[in-house]
Amino acid sequence: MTRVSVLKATGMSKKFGGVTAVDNVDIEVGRSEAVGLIGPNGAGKTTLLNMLSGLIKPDRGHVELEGKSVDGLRPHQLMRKGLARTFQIPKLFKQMTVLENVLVPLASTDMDGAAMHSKAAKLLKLVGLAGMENMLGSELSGGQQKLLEIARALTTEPKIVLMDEPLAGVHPQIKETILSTISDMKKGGVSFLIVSHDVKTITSISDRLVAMSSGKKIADGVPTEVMLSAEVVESYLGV
Amino acid sequence: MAKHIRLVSPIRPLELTPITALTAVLIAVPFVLTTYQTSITFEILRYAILGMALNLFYGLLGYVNFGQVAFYGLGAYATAVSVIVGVPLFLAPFVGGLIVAGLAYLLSLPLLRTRGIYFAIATLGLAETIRLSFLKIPFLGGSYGLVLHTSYQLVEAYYTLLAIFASLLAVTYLILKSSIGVELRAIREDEEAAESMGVNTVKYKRLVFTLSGFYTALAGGVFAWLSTYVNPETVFQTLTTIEMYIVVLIGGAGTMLGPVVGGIIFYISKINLLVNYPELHFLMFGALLTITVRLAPRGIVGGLEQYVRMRRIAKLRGRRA
Repeated sequence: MTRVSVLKATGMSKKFGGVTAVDNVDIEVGRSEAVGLIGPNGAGKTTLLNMLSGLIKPDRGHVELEGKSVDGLRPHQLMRKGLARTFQIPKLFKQMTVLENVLVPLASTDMDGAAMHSKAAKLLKLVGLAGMENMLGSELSGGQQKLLEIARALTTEPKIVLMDEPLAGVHPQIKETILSTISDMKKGGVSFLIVSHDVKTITSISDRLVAMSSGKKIADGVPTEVMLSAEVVESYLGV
Repeated sequence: MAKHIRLVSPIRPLELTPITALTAVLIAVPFVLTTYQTSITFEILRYAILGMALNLFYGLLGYVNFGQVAFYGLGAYATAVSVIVGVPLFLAPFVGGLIVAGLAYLLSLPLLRTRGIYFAIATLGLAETIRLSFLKIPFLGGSYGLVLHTSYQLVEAYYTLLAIFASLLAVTYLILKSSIGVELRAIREDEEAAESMGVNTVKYKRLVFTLSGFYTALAGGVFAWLSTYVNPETVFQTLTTIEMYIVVLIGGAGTMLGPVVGGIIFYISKINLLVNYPELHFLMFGALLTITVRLAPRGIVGGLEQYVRMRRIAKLRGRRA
């Protein structure tokens, strides 16, 4: 079946001083597809996500969102075009309430105040944070902070969500909530590019896996094939 | 930026009651109090406006501007020059405010490319450069400054300042209630995350820098009107910037009424300490500020707001349990 591309990046490269963090990486995510991005520490996964979401400028490379170039756009412009992201360490607005955290991305839409509140309530319910609207971001547990960040990323009905380690260090129950949210959103047409060290889980929810090592893409394909690839085995196990 | 600014929390009449009552009391001041007491109220209003204007940029946006006094001094000078070239006295502070707002916007273009301590130092450097330049500019009177050749008009200046105060209160209230307030506080909390959540951080920072400069300049303009004289050492004092921060920190950064409460406490403490302990007043004031920040790190109004919020959460949890 032909893949309808939502995100397509080619030749992405980034150097920090003399260190090549990402070296000529191509990556593509189709509609309603979940792509897992795996690799050992220092492989360049987060740098790639930062370039795709506009947080850092690539040295080289070209990015398209639904077939249109988005090169050079700032993160807030990409967000409005349908690209949302979450961070490895949740970047919540800690002295703002849970409700206000979800209202932030809605503030740049055309919704009126009542619609914004209704949408926020719906999303908080979806991720299991209903009833915590008046708590500050800093008062949530680590897992709840991850859930809030996911709710925040979903508010503007993105076409694709880039997630950096959404499952790291969370309680199994919250992990289940995160996975079921991803699954539900996928069914609704949302695509995901998910960085994770939890290879077992990411393999189970991804349609495809992309593996990186030392800044380079070393494998791209269905999870079972990628996990058996000699280069992937070598980069993970060193054999 | 949002295509249009919307209210995200409702306007509650109960919240407006203290503001309306305060404004009504302030309107009556020149009729019921002595000239001296009116001049004290004028000073309190001036500090409250300076605190509220700084609060927009520091309290809501989280940026430290150590050169805020530059707007005040430029506003005073722009007003003085406007009066000298024939602009009616009651209009001159507003002409001055608009000129400074234009300058603030232009200054924001290079300044807001920096963040954190770099921004703070750049603004401090800019304010000092402006002060030193004004000492040397002949047509602005150099170190002697400019004389407005007007009479002392306390009541007129007082009501102009009161109108500015009321409009700034309204602007702050509407910002806090609207989508723009949510976005500004998001920038204060984490600028990178705010940008990733769709907030056009650059536009908002420029907007608020300009707005803060405009209101600070208006206060400087009315000060020039009342004192009928401006010179660099009076209107570009770094101490004035520090006083603005004290007002905001005592009252509560990021709150609507914090700078008003801070302005009242600051000015009454200042004159009392100055009169009773002229040699020690700076020391005692430092101690007062340290104690306030230690006991109420969010300021008086910020601490009260936190207390009310915690009570509400506790009540909700109690109801559920």
